[in-house]
Amino acid sequence: MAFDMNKPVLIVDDYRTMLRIIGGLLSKLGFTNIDEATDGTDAYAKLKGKHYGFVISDWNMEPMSGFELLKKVRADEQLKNLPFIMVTAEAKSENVVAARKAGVNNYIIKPFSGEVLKAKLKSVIGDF
Amino acid sequence: MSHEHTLEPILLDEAMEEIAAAKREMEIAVDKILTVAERLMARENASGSADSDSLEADCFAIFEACAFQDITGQRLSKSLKKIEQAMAVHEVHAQQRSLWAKSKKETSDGIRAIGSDEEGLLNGPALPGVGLDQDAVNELLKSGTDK
Repeated sequence: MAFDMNKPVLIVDDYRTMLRIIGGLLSKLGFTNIDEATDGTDAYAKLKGKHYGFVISDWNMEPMSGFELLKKVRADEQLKNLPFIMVTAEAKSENVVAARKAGVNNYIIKPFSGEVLKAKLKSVIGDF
Repeated sequence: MSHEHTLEPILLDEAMEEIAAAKREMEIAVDKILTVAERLMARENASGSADSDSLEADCFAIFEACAFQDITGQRLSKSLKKIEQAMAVHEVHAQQRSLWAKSKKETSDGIRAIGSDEEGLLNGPALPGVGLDQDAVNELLKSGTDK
């Protein structure tokens, strides 16, 4: 079953420019209901308040990082199966391995193109 | 030579490398943005109007190029942190106290992650040629190994 493009999706980044860029790319791909958060704490509160189709999150944020958010989501009975894509400048193998072990669905290195974002989303949520 | 003597130049060298990388990335991004803008202007001048599909594609090329601001912002934050740390080392040395007992990781990798399971994972953007590219990340995710 194709992804419902009207389902809310959440993007998390402490740089407003990145929220605009990712939000713009998602709009171009056809997603119509895009929410934003500026750190893990803000994101987690939003995730508890609404059913989201997926999360796209930066790693390096304060007070709660994207990695901490990922672990919190996977530990939460209500949220544990939420598709979670990390989009980050953290490019060491240790980061990718840690994120994979924590249950990330996919991992995108910044800077990235709209085509990469589309391909990674399709691999996680299926066709849209 | 004491550790205080060696740490300051290392931190300052690393800060300078980050600033130089940020400067290069800004130049590349601005060049991309200007190239697209020039293409748009040329197309409009030639035809009197812009084809909407290629106009949208060019606009999104500008969007993607603007992602440099996130990367360079992180590099400059890292540089500032290293300069602050070098100044702190200099101050302690001047006061004749040893900072080396404090973890070297704390002074070169960032203070927040010490003692947490994110220790060593908060490095920000890697210098060109140092970090993994997207293909390498994809392979690592697929392989399920730790190397």
